Amino acid sequence: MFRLDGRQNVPIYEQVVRRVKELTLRGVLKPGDKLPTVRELSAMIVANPNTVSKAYQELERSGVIETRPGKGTFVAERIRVEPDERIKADLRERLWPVVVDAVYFGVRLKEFEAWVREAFNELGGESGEPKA
Amino acid sequence: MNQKLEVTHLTKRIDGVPILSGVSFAAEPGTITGIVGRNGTGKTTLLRTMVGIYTPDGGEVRYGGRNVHADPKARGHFVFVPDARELLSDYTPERFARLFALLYPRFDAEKFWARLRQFELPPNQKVRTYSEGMKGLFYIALAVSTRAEVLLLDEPTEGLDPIFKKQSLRLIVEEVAEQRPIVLICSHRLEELEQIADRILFLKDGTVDSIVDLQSMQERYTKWQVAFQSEDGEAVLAELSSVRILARSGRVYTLLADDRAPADLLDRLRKGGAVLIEPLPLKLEDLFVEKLGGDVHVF
Repeated sequence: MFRLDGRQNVPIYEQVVRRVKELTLRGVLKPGDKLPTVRELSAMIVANPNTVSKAYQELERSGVIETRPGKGTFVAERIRVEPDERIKADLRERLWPVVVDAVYFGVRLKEFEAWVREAFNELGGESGEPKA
Repeated sequence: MNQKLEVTHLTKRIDGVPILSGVSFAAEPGTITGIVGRNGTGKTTLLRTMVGIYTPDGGEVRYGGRNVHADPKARGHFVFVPDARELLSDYTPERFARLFALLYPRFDAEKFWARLRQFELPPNQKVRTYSEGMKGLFYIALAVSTRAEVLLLDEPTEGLDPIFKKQSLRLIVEEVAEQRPIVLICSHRLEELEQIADRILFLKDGTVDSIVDLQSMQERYTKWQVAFQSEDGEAVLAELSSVRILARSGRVYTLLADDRAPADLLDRLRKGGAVLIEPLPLKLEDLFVEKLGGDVHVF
């Protein structure tokens, strides 16, 4: 479940953050589910424990998981809030280089939109419910 | 408990030949530092000097502020796993356990035996009779069971099959998560260090070339494959600061750019006639070549 892809050009830290977010969106991890400890996860994926710990801190900051003292780390109840303008602006900025490359390599807008729609559907982005 | 390790201006000559010529660095508890360098740059000598097998000619090694060469008690916090797996190999694990319990007051016998059972290492056989992979795993299991606060590992996974290798790395990572020792690993297995280390110390000509934090490596450096339409790619690239050509094959270049490279790098490449620009995954190996390769053409 937490298997990481060593060939990806993505730091382990980001892979952990993304993977946990994705697993919660897909409903594989549900609110209240217990996550492996930092020690367990770093041993499981054979990764530096400080890296894993940093990823957990980031996930906690963004409200994906919560630490209950003495009990462990759990998937947080998902609170749906309207994303604020700052987050939206940040997302748009991160999308920019991908669009630049898409345009550069001649990807059609229709096809690009279809990719986005596909990903949204897969993650339950519009309905708010993960695809069963 | 766990304290800071400081190495300052460490020098060592062997048979009159300077091997270490002023090595300085520090390490914090709970961190893994990978030490890399070309063959013969003094990696093994550094570990051997730190642990007291060699007496330094100059400089010092301090653990928790105490000089480990003057204070055997401070050195007692160190455990060293040499690359040759022959230390007391006439011993059975049983005898190792008895000896190490004397040498290391915090030796965790229970964990030691649990690990041997887990990895199915025969407890009554001399370690000499083990396979290379079993030996490798055994010495690491022994080292982490000492509960030493500084672990010095020389090529710990060399010659191990993928399963022994993974088990060994897992032991190291688990120990760091649980007991927060300082771990120094000399290795040529860059992809393993990439996975488990916090940072990489590049050793060159017996001194520290640089120390790179692995978490920021991907932010600081980018790698590209660029193909130019015409032959004047070289001239375009020569104008770009902090962009280094890792390899060239005709009009196709492999480039490494660091964070001082211009922000509009890709635009400038396109304007310069680049018809193909592709990001490539950055590997520690690229930095190794960049920092330690000199002018040798490796590709």
